[in-house]
Amino acid sequence: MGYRPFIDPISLHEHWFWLLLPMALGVSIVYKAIRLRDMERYWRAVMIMTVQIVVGMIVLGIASYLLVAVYVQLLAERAAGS
Amino acid sequence: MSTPASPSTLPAVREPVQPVAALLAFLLPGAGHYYLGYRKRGVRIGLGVALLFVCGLLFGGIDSVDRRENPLWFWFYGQMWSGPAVFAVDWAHQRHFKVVDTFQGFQVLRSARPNEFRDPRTARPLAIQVDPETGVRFVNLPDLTGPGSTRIEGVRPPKLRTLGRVAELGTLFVAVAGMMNLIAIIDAMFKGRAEGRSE
Repeated sequence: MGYRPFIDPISLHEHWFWLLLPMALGVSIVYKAIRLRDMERYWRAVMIMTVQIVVGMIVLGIASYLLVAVYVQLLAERAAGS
Repeated sequence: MSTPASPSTLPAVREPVQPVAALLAFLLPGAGHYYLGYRKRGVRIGLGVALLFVCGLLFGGIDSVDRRENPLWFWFYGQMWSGPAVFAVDWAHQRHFKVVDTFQGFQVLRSARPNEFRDPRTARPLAIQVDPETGVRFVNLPDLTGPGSTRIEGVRPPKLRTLGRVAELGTLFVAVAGMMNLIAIIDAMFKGRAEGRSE
């Protein structure tokens, strides 16, 4: 069965994290259009904010991984040892 | 001779509330700012909200907007701030992409299963069968006036249900579009033509 745009979902179950890029871009376009006083460097500000969101999410992802896979495991090992 | 005024040269308008701008911003994202004279801002707000909204429907399918059946139905209250387009999509979803089933004597509107076809006349679900010889998917569409039926081949469910992360993200995209437009509505309503703001 063929894909019907806007009716059926896209099969992106393995690559869902790429959807962060258009979401960050859309949020930045609207936010900067409201927030900036001067629209001179609008698109530059949009790109900077998009990159900030994406980098921020990557850092949060790494932090979450370290918390769960390293720190919590360390605590569990300590608790088992005591 | 006076030159046409632009928002940056206009004196700031100090009206406390701009209800017309807010209404326009709700009806068409960005129209509130456009009405206040901020044309570039208005177009860009509309572009951003449309990008999020279209991405939500494109990635998650029509299931991304579902006021009734989606387990995340409460997201609709965030999505609805994207404007009438969300209500139109939800209306089309309920009316043209769902089947009417009977459950304990009550008529229930639900999504068709992957092996169900939607009868276009009654919206009732019909089981899709597969011809064992040709592999063709078909349904026997019953005649409404008599005992006979008509075989229709090449049928499919009216939509595929969106599941997992793609479902969450489709719903989230449209909800973020609504939330961003809500910020734009509030900005158009209370800020009006603020001092020092360029077009």
